[in-house]
Amino acid sequence: MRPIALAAALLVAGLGAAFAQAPAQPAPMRPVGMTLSSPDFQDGGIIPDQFTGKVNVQGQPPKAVSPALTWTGTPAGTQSFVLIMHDLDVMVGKGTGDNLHWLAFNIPATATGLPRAVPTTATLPDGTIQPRNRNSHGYQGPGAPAPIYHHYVFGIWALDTKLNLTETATRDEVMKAMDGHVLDKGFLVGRFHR
Amino acid sequence: MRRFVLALALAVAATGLAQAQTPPAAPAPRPPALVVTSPAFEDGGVIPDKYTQKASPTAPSIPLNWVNTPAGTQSFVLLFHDVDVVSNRSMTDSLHWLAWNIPATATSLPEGLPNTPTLPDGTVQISHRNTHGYVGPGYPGPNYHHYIFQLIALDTKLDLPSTATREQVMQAVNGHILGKGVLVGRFHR
Repeated sequence: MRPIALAAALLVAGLGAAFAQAPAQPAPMRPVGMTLSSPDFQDGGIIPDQFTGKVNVQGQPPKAVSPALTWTGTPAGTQSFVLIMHDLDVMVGKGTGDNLHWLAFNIPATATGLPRAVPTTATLPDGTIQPRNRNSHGYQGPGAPAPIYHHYVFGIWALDTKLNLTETATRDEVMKAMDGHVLDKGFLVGRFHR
Repeated sequence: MRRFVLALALAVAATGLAQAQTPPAAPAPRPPALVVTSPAFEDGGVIPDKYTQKASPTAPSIPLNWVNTPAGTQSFVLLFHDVDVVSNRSMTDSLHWLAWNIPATATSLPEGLPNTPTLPDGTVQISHRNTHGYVGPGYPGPNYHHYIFQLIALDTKLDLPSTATREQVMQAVNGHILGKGVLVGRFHR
């Protein structure tokens, strides 16, 4: 009898402990996710003209420079970052695509940001690769016509790998290679129209 | 000599005419783009607690208005997702609401739509984890997540039941988009 009573007591105690824990414990989640911010504009705010097509002159090299970016919360095990900036409001034909403004991958895992005016070259000295947006390598400033704001989404993606792709890679190829390797990501939204 | 001068004058005149015409010949004006707004919060701003899981797990859906429905629109799709969420290291994010076959005549959605698989006007809706309809933002961390509404005008209706997945809906949408409007809200608890 005594072993049964002991077993029952242990069982009850075990159940009690389980019950006590279940409601109090939220699903395991990283305490702080990655954040992406810019000293040049507020999240959800308007991208200043100096970073947009508004300052470009037709027939001359673009004057618009990339805004400075800073990120925090790099997860353990990060091997590289990917940066994607796109204009959600643009339609490509009748498809679900939109407008790519900037794609950079193999940004070193030690990076915590990008300076203002990243060169618009296919590769950077630190190993970063910048495939073409619609027109060129590197950053292309927003250029939505008046009067409706477009939404330019900057995303920084921490990967558990580097990408074995070249500067000729398309956005689709990069995103396919990223799939299954995303440790965390952070976003920043800017709005603009001319 | 006189003939040469005449030819030259004509050539100059023609050039002038061509130059005068070229710049003012603007491309045909595009119709105004679909614009979606909410009376509940400003574009790029913070979603009020009332519409979030901070208030209730069954918080009411956010009211939406839109203008400039493209000619030929047969139905609308509304996608609402948290782009910051990572799931199993994949490229997907967190779905909070996906409604399709919203009537082409609609120009708004009221606050607090029922969380049913279908609505009387023919709208079909899904959400994450086999639920239907709107699920409010609930991110518990200290940093803001970005909850993006995308209203998509289609040249067709979608022949999909309320058991369809987000991937199936977006695949069916591809190739039928006449216009889209975007509204961004931010939230953390």
